[in-house]
Amino acid sequence: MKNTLLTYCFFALVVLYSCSPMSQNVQVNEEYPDIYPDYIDITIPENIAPLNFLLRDSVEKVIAAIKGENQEITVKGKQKVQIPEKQWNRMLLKNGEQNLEVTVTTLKNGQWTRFRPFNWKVKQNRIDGYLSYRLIEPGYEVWNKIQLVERSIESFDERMLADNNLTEGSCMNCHIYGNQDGSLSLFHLRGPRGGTVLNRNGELRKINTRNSEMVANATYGNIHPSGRYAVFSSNVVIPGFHTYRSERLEVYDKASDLIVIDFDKNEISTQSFLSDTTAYETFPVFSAGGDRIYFCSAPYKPVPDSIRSLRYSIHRVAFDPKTNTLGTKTDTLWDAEQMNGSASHLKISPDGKYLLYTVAEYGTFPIWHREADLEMMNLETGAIDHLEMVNDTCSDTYHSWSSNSRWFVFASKRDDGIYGKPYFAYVDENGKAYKPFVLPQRDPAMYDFMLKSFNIPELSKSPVPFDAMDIEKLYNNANTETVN
Amino acid sequence: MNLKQNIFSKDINVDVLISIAFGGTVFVFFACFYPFHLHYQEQEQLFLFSGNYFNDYLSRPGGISNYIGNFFTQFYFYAWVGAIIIAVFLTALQRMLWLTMRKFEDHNLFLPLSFVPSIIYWSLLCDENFLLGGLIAFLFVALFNFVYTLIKPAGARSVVLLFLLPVIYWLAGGAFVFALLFALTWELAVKQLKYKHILLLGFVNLIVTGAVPVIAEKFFLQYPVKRIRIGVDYFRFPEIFFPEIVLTGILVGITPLITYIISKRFKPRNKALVVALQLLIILPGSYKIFNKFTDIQKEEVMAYDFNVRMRRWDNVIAMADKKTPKSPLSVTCLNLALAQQNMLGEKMFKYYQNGVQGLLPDFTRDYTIPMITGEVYYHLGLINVAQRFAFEAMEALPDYQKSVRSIKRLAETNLINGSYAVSKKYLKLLQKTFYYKKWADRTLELMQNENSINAHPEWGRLRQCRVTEDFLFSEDERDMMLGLLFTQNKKNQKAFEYLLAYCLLTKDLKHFWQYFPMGQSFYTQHIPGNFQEALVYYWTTINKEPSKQIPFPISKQTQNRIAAYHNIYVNNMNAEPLLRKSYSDSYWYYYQFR
Repeated sequence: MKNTLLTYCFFALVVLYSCSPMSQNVQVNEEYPDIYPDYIDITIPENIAPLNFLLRDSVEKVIAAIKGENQEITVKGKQKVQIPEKQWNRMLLKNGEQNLEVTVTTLKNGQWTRFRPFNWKVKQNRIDGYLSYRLIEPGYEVWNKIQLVERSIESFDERMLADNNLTEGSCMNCHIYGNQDGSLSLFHLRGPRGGTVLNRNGELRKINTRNSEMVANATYGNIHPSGRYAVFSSNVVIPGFHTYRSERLEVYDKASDLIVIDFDKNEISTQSFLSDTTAYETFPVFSAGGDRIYFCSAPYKPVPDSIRSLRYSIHRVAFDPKTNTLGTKTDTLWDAEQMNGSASHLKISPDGKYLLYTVAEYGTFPIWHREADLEMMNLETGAIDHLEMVNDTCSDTYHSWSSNSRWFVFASKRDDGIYGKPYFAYVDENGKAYKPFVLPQRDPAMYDFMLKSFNIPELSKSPVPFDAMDIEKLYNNANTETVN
Repeated sequence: MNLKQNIFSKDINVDVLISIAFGGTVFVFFACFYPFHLHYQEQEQLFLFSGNYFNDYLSRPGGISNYIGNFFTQFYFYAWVGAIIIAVFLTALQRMLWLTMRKFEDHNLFLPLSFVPSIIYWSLLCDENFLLGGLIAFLFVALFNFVYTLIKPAGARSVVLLFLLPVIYWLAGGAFVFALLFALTWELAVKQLKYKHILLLGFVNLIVTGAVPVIAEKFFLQYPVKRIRIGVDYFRFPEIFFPEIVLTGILVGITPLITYIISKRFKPRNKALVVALQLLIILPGSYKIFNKFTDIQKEEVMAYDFNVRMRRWDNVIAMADKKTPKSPLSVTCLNLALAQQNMLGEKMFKYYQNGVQGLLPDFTRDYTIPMITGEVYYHLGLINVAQRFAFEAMEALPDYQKSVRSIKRLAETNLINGSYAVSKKYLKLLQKTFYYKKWADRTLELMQNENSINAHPEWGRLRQCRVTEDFLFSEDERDMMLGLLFTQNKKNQKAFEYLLAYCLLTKDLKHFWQYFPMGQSFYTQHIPGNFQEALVYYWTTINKEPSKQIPFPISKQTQNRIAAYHNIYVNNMNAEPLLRKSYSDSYWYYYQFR
């Protein structure tokens, strides 16, 4: 009897010993663990949601020790590391700028392995707390379910801003902010009762932003810092379908012009040289001060035959917000022929210092160009940063600044080349950009099984004051304003 | 009434036998006469064994019914299994209604009426867009009704009703109103409660039934009000609702009371007459409703499509030999099968041809045509076009589901294109399915070795057939696309034959004549018969010197045949019927009379 008891005790000790990573039974691996998402050695804001991750290797157990300056969190899981939100927030918010060291230990085939630790550098420079994006299948011509979503970056909460389920299946374009502020935003809602939805301090308006002289609907746009104006390109958008290997879609413009809309007077203005047929103008944005408009332009070429030689340069033109008049001359900041590329999606940092844009080999739709990368121009010196730490081999584009100009978000297809996800990158006071990281999810496996792309992720410092039900009511009941 | 006693009584044995016969008929119908509708349904969803998939359904009213419906629909992969499932569920609905009716009146007089909801739903399921989830919702209601009759104390019933109705709403969506309807009719029949209490019960529950969707609406903003109230996806197009569904629900709810009232009021003496009267209404009604929802022509297209999907080329040709297909989609499948068996040039005009739409149908924004057309592009080697069509077909599904067939095709096209990361994403999804898991496992294993993919009989060949230089696909210039595909890989015989077939179907013999020499090396032994016919016909129109020989080896038989054809044509005022008799399988007949 006594012997049996001893035998049980012995086995219990063996089991206990093999189930915990004692220093004696742990093998040390000098490699980093194969984790997804790639959160190895990244810079993060102090107000980010927990960086949950999983092990790509199939293991029986995983233990992650996150060691800060005054605190340590240990998280255990089978395959996933899901950090408790409260502990995480306490650790990040109480200790300010710090370096978190993450040590991952796994159990596989009865063997514990401790991997090389990696770091999370926490910055007190916060990122704007809200991110909006359009969730859509990365398809071709047919769309199914489209949702505009607002996600809190500080937690995993998300809510619908618009859902085409509620608006007769209409297509809706991405949601953009003015001044990165939730109280000033707009998006285009198509469909028979649609229009451009303008949110100014929660007052929602539905405006038909096309007049009889425009070549097409208002498409890509930006809101003036005053909230009174918006600049748009009006594009006749045509999809083309590549036949070669992993090349997929080529979206090009048959025609495109620039217009400015005064939302107080519902008036459209333009300049003849920005709306004639000699060039394609697109992706306009206001400068941080609102006294200039930056835009992309390419000289006319017949498309699609000449699509591979169609390259867009970056120009700017003066804008007087007092009189709503555009200048008559343009400056060229980035010459497509000299740079041997095509620019798109211009975004000026709120401090007015940098211009962030995408460069592809040709054309005007970089999301389907694998080679599309982000570049950043210092508007004071003209110096260009190719952002090598930020870019990857797949498309990196659709970017937006945080209101403090220290962070930007962009959509990257680096995981598989098809499904875009929002990545955040830190830019320090000297303009140096750091390795980006993907938006954390409660379940780190979510991206593996999700069949949606995150389009045009945009940051804002406050939530928008409407939701999908408001948009349903606006779509069904509100009168559509017209512009002259 | 004692249920156990009922079940084993002599009378009940008869009704059990009739129920079994009904189930057997349903099974035979779907297994033998309507199997391809079931295969079609199976491919238009992607049921995943995953917590997230379940939670997604659990989180909306009626989602559980949809989830259970989808769970069983995945077994339609084998039509006979699907037929068993439908037969069991329809019989279960009938049995539950019948057992409930027996709680009102203990005789077999109204047995035929108990079959009516099941017959209606059977006919609805003959339309490929009606989903099984709706039937599950009615089963939940019928089960609730039966259980409700088992609760003896009236007070307990009232409490159960109050608390169980929201649960039924969550399980079966808006169909829960039929459970309420039944509960009130039961109370009227058993008379344990006073009328004013029944009225109060109805009123309170009406408030509950009204409030639950409103509360749900507050929490599930992304759903239109109508969808929150209806909950269950009865039809693939959520915006469309059929009166037959409401009729089924009402019958499940009030048939017991109706039969109760009739038997109480009229005390029918001639039982046979009562049964005959019921049959007199039910049988023509069934005929009418089946006529509305069944479509044998669609069944034929689905059969062709299924055989193409399964690469059963011989079956496709055998079907056409039995009955020549007429619809463009069936003909598309047949032409593809002929091309796969190297018989396109030899036999395509043996069958009815309806122009380019029977070869490469136009792209449409729906979930059927692009899937079938995509098969053609896939086997031709236009992999990106096939990929696009599979993606678009899936996106066009109106109930926002994913298509397992599309996902599988997307895994294949990305694999062929070497986009392994995205192919792996789709394969990981398929690993969570029941029937496609093994295929996904094998494919993932194969992906480890590039040589294995290159050596794969289908994927390896298609890799060789792909374009080598990019061009933008234009549907308006399909002949040019086929020409580019062929000129970039001169070994792609199928692309060449499709190009020739395109010219023949558009009666563009000038280009046919120009293109033919480019691939003549495929036919060193023998030029396929229909191609010979086109060559010799065009030669007769361009050759001005009778002594000059056609520059292609045309068989003696073809030469004799065209001479005979010509003879009939010039010597008869109305030559068409005569030529049809002997030459309907020739290109000449198509050229002149189609």
